[in-house]
Amino acid sequence: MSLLHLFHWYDHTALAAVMRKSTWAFAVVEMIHLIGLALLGGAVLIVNLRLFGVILRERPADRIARDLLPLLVASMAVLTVTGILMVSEETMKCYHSTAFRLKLLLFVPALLLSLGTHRKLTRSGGPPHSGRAMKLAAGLSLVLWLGVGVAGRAIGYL
Amino acid sequence: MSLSLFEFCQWLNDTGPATALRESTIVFPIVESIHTLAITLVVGTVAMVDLRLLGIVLKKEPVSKVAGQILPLTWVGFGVMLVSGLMLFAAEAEKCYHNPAFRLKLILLALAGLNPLVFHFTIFRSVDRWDEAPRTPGRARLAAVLSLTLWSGIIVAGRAIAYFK
Repeated sequence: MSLLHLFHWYDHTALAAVMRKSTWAFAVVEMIHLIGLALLGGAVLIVNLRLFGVILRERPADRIARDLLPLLVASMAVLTVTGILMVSEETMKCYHSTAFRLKLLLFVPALLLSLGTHRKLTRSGGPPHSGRAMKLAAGLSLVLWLGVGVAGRAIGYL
Repeated sequence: MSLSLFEFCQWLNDTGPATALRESTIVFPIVESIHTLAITLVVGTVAMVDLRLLGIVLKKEPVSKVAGQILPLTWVGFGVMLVSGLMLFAAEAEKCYHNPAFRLKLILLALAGLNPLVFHFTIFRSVDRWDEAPRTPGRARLAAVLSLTLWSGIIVAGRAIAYFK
């Protein structure tokens, strides 16, 4: 099944019909999506700024990363569920939207980089990583997540 | 001559820069996007401090360190949020005046601002005694729950402004 078929199928589900019919369903889901975004943004920002050596420098980076992982995963789950629900209201518009495509293209590497960094940090158990590679990954991660946010907002405009 | 709040909004709404911003199909969305991202920064960072107070994240880091190093980021976000917010308000001042969601948002913002002020001058004074505690005193946790509730409310009310037109 191609991606286009998938979107067509989703567009014709009962869920999509309910979302389109209700005035407030989309609004409520979008609000929850935004709160989830703030929580994800906070967790991602703290971990990456720590890796960058901007904040909490004296505290172990692996512990901070490990401690914020549940929040990252939980907010990611909320964002995914609400995101999929939001797509149902305007499935075909999303399929053709440049901003939506860009958001997904940025989202995949952003998530992989965040999880990869986390793995590297918590698996080694050695001294805190503050090498150049870690800093580069942290900076790139922040830029990618920012891009996800900007592209996400742009879906409503384009 | 005294000016009512509504007359002020009408005046502001009709000023040159406000009109230009309202009618711009490029600048308005950019300012709106910056505003949304700034709120995300504010709420994201405030939430991390609140969740620390509640003992949900960063339990092993001292409260004073977490608050002291994360809240400056909040202030950066707050500055951007305020400037972009004032711009958006000016562009749609007349509409905002009548908008129930906008009014609610302002009330919630005032309360969200008052909360850390009270917190800072009361419970936070004794932070030395519970700085390292995973679970902070009841009043600190209450302030955290209030903060999370108010800021979530601000996001909800802020988003709702667009639905009341």
